[in-house]
Amino acid sequence: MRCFLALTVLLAGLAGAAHGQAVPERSQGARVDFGYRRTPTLRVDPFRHVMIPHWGFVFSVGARGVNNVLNFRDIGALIKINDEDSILVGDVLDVLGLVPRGLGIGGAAEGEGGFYLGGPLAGGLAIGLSAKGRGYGAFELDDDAIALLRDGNGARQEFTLGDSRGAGIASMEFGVHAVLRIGPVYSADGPRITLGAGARQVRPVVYGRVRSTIENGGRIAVTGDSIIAKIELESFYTPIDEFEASTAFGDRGSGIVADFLVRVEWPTNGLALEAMVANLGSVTVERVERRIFQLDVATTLLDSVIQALEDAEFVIRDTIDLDLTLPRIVRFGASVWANRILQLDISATLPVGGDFPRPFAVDVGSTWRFVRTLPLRVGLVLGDNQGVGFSGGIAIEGRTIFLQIAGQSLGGLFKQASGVAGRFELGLFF
Amino acid sequence: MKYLRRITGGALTAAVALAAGTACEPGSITEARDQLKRGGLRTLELTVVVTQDSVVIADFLPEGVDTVIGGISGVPIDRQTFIVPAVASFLVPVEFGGNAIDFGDFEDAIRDATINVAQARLVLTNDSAQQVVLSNVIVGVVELNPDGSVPLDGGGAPVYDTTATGVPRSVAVADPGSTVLTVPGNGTDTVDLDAALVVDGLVDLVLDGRRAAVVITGSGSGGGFPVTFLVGTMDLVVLLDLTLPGAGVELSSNTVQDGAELDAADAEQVAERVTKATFTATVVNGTPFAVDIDLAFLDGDLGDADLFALPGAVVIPRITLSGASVDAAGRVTDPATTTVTIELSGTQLQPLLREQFTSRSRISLRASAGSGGRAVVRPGDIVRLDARVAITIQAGENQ
Repeated sequence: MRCFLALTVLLAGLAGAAHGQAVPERSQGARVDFGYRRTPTLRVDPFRHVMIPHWGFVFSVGARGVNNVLNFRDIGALIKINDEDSILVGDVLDVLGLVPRGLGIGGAAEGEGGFYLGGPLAGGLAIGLSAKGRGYGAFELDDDAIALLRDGNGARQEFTLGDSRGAGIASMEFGVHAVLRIGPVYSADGPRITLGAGARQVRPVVYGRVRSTIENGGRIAVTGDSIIAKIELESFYTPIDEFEASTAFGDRGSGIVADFLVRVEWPTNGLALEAMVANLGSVTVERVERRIFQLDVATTLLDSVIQALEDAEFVIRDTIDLDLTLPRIVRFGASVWANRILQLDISATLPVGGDFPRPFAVDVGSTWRFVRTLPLRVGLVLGDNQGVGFSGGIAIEGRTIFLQIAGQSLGGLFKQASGVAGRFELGLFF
Repeated sequence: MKYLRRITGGALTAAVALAAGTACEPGSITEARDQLKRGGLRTLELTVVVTQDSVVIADFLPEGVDTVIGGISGVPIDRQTFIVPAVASFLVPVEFGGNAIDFGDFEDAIRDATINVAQARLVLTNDSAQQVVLSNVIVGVVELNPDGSVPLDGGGAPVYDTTATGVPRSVAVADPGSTVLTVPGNGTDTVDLDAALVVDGLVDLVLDGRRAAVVITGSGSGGGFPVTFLVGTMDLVVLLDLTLPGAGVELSSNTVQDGAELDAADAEQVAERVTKATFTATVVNGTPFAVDIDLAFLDGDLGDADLFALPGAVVIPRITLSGASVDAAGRVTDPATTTVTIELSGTQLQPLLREQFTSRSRISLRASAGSGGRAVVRPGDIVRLDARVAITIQAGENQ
């Protein structure tokens, strides 16, 4: 909540700063098309291509992965150890030592790739069709769940699985999105309003989820007198063998999700405010195998615990059709022109439920247009379980070609990063 | 387009390399491991219960063989069947092989101790209609000749095993209140007798690996034609009412157990990281035995090797458990409590971390003070063990 208030204050500040600032008529800012003024993000954005002011195809691929424990030096070290020696128990204990106290282990990944066809129609209306493959995955291992192995039981003896969970889905998507530009309203210098809406048919290909089902994550108590473990995990997944037997696009179920956008721009002073929601709706995944893992031990014998752990396994309970909610995305953004060549952006992506844990994140960006069609971008990424990250990118926004390459180093720079994101887009216009 | 391919290809390659982390590999394994503990080392203490359990004497005996007679725990010996020809003078050897006697972990103790109480039950069955009377019946124990025959003296009588003071290990058998055994026609006769003298000798001989038999001699009244035969069974029960030598009895055994099943490198690394492992046990001894325990262990399956004599074996300092207070007859009156602490270094712990380890225990069992060496085990005599282990490990710390 404090982050949200801080963001609101920052947005208000940006708006105030931009109020009296006009974009010079011959500046780069004034000549950039409205569609390209909407700074691209490396996050999920179903409206990214329908805003492009030309008819054509866009091929795009992007991926993003981040965790809060290992940076690339750590990953490199683990690869080195695994390749040339072997990862030992002590190495695992060392890695557990890297888990930030109180936060547990968290990670998220998403990726998409596909084609888009679309462009502007008459009257400010633009429409686009898209076909994409997309995947989301995220997990959270509660700090309480790993505290025993990380901290021992000298100071505390009670542990739980807490809110530990993880989920992932890979799907095919077929979408149609439209934006309608209205304005300027009130006067020639008045605001221009962009309304966007779209829907995507989502066809799941692979799905998996695991979560703790006992309230508060069950109980694990390890003392010098007894060991108690009462935990239960529930997993859902689509069996791979069945997936392989089906077609690639599968008859694994489907669902329709909707996306909406409102954007208001004041062209003369370069201010824009935007709100977007995406992934409203649910998707049915058919023939999901549900399994249960139960461990219920209360003993004074270490051998009994070892035996119980050896005997415990995920047991198939049933096969069901599952309605799941994709990561709902609510994003507020604002941008201003700081001078003739510099555009500043800030956006906040809020966690709003769904089956995939997604923390609050803020992107702060700057776009430098020394040449109007060759924007250079640098920025910061805050939150998102990764601390502070950095982003950069370059694009060519030509009349017949559109190229964008962007990347993020999350949680630090380069080898210190604990996550990475990259995006490549290539458009050819008629 | 050529430049475009270069730019995009380079970017994608860099992204993949970055994502894989391969571009960030340290120069050596040491550097890699240092990277994972870049924040220094933290000390992690883990205390876990090992066992909190009660052990009864029956747990040390072969499964299912414990019995109780007169409130004393006992161990039966396998039943033997024999034929008695009711002739004027009969001699029937009943051989007990090594397989017939199994005292489990108590074997050495019973061999070296004196058995004070043992019960023998003879059941004789007469399938003929004529009553049979057996007189001058004597049951004794002999060490058989190598050919399996019974050693006889010049008069044709068996040469019985003797005690240390030269007393023959034999007892006379008759029905209560009678001097003979009477087996009715088409009936049975059952006789219980105190056979400690016989059984103590039998057990010593058999456990020493010698051939031994219980010999039944006497005269029968069924000596006509055809000869009447009796079918007999003999059940022996050794009751755990023992007199132990003053120096105690020593039991040694090797046990091969599964370890933590780590490979060599893993075990070595864990051993380096373990600052110490402290085993603490509180033992409430409710048996009439005081115990000294020497323990040694070593990595691998070493069979019956004497680990105490092997270099590299981890030898635990002697553990002494006080015996319970007993009365003059060797019966427990009050249990004794002893707290034992054993501290091992990581290196000493290493054999326990591998696939298997062999442990050798050398236990010296003495009767509790105050009973003149006599110890009586009753079913309620238990050992309560409350053991835990606290391991202190060093591992990487977050920055």
